[in-house]
Parts: sequence; structure tokens; C-alpha cells
Amino acid sequence: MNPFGVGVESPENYEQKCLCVLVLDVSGSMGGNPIRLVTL
Amino acid sequence: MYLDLWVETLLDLLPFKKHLSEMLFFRYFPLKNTSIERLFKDFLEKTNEKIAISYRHFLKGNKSINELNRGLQAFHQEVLNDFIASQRLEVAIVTFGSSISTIQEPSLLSNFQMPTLSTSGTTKLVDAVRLGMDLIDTRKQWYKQTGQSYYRPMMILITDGEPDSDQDMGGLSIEVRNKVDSKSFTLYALGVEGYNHTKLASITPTHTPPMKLKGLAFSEFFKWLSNSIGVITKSKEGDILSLPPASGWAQMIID
Repeated sequence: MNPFGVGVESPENYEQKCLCVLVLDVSGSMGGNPIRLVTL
Repeated sequence: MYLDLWVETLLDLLPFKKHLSEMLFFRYFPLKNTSIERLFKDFLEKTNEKIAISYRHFLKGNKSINELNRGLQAFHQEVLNDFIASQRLEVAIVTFGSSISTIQEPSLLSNFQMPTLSTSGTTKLVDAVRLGMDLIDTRKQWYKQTGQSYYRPMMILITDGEPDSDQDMGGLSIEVRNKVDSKSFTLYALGVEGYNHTKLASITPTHTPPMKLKGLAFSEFFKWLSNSIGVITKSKEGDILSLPPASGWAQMIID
């Protein structure tokens, strides 16, 4: 309970918000061709 | 022993330089030239090690991550060019490789520069989606606490691989579907060449199956996303939305 809003981030505006969370793969294979396992 | 070695490292370690012209040839004909594999296998036979080899350095101009970064930058600019969307859209960014990270907390795009991503490691996809869901829950609480209304949040998952073996896809599937069914958020998954469609489909709602990116059309995808967000942020409750066609970036998947 925080009746005075202390410590709570204030909104920059009160427009209706649309939240988009980008969850992005940055594993090694995104740096080029997929990694290939060479097995002898 | 598994190593993920840069080709440059191999060049330093091995007497391969005489084959450099052959390697450069391979850069342009990666699927047809097999002698490069012979060279690596010779190395493996000599060192008696098992090595995961990436040819990524031969494809510098064509990396997924570069196109993803270009797409993100274009997305940032497109949204800022739309006054209403720029006032309403908040973006958070979670990345996943061998570890997961919130590299951008939810914020209006005018408050931050789009980061340039780099790659490393494996694919902790489940951990990252869970982190994304936590971000959504926390931000929704803040919206309520501060009297801000909000559209249903969306999560955009982009991957080109399959999750690490320790990732609990079954458990995640239940969590995601429960939250999607309760309209907590919407999940859209985008597969890049090499992704595992079956596994990705196992965590996505049946009405929003994974889409496959056409080639490396990240810029087209993010253009579509910014246009779609432009439509969403100008809508009212009860509106029937008509989003732009995805034909510029999506590839048909036939199961």
C-alpha cells in the first residue's frame, strides 16, 4: 500500500498504453549460419 | 568437448592459410563446396576433438542479427514518426542466449535509443519468455496503480533455433496458454530460418501459430509491426481492427 505514491514512477502521460515486449534470440546462430556439429 | 570456434581462430591455429582462396570461394558458395568440411575434419582427426563449427564469418554481410538490428532501428523511427503511437506504445526488450537479460525496461520509445544487439551462446528461450511475462505483469500493475488504461499487452518472440534441452517447453506452454486464454497478453512468435516450428508451435496459442520470416525480412516485419501498432493505438474498445497484410515478410508454413 502506497497512499502517497512515494517511490512510484509517474506516468509521462495518461494516454491509453500499448505494451509490446520484444523477446529476441541473440544466440550464436543469429550471427550467421546455424551452428553445425561435425561428428567424426 | 564442444567448442564454438571462429574461423579466424582456426586460421590462427592451423596451417590453413594456403587454403584461404578456397575458403573465400566457400563464402559465396556455402552450400555447394564440401572441401572446406574436409579441411575441418582433418583438423578434428588430428586433435581428436568434437567441435561445433560455425561458418558465420563467411557470411558477414548476411547475418540475421544485422538485419534484426536494422529492423529495430527502423521500427523505432517509424513509431516516433506516428505521434499517437509514440505517446501510447511502450516497448521492453528481453534478449536470450546462454543467459537472459532485460536490456530495456518498458518505456516510451522517445526515452531510449534502440540498442544494437550482438550474439553469443545458446537458446534459453523458456527463461526469456517467463521474464517477459513477469515484465508484463509488473507493468500492468503499474498502469493500474497510476490510473492508466491499457490495451492488451503483446509479446513478440523471435528465434532462429530450438530451446536448450534444459528448457521446460511443456510447462511454459501451459503457463502461456492460461495467460493468453485469460487475455493477460497476446503472444506472437516469429521463426527465422533454422527454427523448430513444432517446438515453437507448442507454446503458441492455436489462434496465433508461429509465423516464419521470409528470408531475413526483419525490416519488412518491423515496418508491418509499427503500422499495426499505429492501427491498434488509434482504436477504441470494441473496434474491429484491420491490420496490414503480412505478405511482405511472412512465409507460408504447411504442417
